[in-house]
Amino acid sequence: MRAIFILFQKDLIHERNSGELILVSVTLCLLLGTLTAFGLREAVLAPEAIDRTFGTLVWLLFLFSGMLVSVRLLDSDLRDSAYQALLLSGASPTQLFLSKALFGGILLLALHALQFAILYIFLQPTFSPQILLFFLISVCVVCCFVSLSLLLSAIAEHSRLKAVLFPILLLPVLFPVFFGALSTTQDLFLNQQFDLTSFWVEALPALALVYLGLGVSLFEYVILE
Amino acid sequence: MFRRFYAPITLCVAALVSALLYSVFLRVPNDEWLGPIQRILYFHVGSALAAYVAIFAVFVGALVHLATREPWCDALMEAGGELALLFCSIVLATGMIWGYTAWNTPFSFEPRLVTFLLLWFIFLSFNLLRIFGDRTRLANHSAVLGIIGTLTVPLVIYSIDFTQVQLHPKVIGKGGVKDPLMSETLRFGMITLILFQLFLLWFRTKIALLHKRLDERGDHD
Repeated sequence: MRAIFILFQKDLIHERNSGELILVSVTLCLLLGTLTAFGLREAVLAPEAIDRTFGTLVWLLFLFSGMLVSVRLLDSDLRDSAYQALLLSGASPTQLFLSKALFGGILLLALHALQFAILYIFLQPTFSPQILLFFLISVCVVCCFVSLSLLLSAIAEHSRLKAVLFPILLLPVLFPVFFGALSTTQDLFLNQQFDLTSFWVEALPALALVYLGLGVSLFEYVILE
Repeated sequence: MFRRFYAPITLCVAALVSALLYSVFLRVPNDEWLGPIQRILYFHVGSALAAYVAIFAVFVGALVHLATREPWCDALMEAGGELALLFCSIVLATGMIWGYTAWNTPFSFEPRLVTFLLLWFIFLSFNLLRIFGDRTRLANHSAVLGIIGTLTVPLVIYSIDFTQVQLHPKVIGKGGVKDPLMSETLRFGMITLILFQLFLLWFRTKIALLHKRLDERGDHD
């Protein structure tokens, strides 16, 4: 556990010194959120239409900015074989994966919250957002997203079509999670209900656990030769 | 060792496929409601099962590869990935033809159809990885993607029970085909297409293994 936090600290310090991930991703989130909101305002959508599309917009923006951020998550560690050095220093692939998932998860959750706030302020939907329940859904989705994207970005990193291959690999396998996120968010925002026995409310945490388990057990095979 | 079985196995599979074609096009009567287009069902269902078998082969290849690093596992994954894409394409194409006739729409955003399209995308990306991936780590990377992709299959199989709005019928589980000749041909079609798929899998794996041996020999030379 201590090793995971030390590796997490390493990522934080690296980020504080370079600022490449946070600065770029926050700017990107602000831009995307603002452009989408103004685009919809320009389309003069009725309040009901904005309410109906709000959940989908939030998750589409998350998907888009999340992909751009997560393709950079492993960049500094895979560059110059920094992971090989960390492995030689005694860190296990599981620790490397968990620390990176923690760092990426916190970053993606913060960006997601920022995008949600921007869209909520600019679009002014009529429903009351149930923040706590939406946060729980977001944690599950981010957990799935970060686990899959760490595995697949490491795979795409060494390919000939690095930047193009990553979304091609990620999007199809992420689809069940995306579908679940849309379904539960629509229920929460539009119908103001959160049925604990509904399929997707049960499936999302299960998928998060499965993908996290897959990430832990398979990460060594994607970073080692 | 298997060389002397090549010809008899190939002949058996060819005979089975010919018998299936004879049954479907000359023996089974037309459906009262859909007419001759209903015959596509015998290929559609069998191809779906053949696709699942190919995906299972990828999964087995991936697990055994990660455990043993045997070269045949990578060859099996390569063959399974290609056949999964081929049979998923057949399922989607035949499903669209059927859907256009039966429901007046080639595609509907309904769970079973969307998730099968998703499987097609997963194995399309799997094959793209095989083409553009890093050669030195391709087997490991394919194994990881194969395992993740295979986990989506249960979602596809059970997706038909998730929602109330469904176009896709549950023909097999609920005994949707009533005519005995039709159901017999449907069963025969499923078995034949699975056997045909296994034959192709075996053949393609052998070719992939030969390619690997040639590559290794080329590296040494």
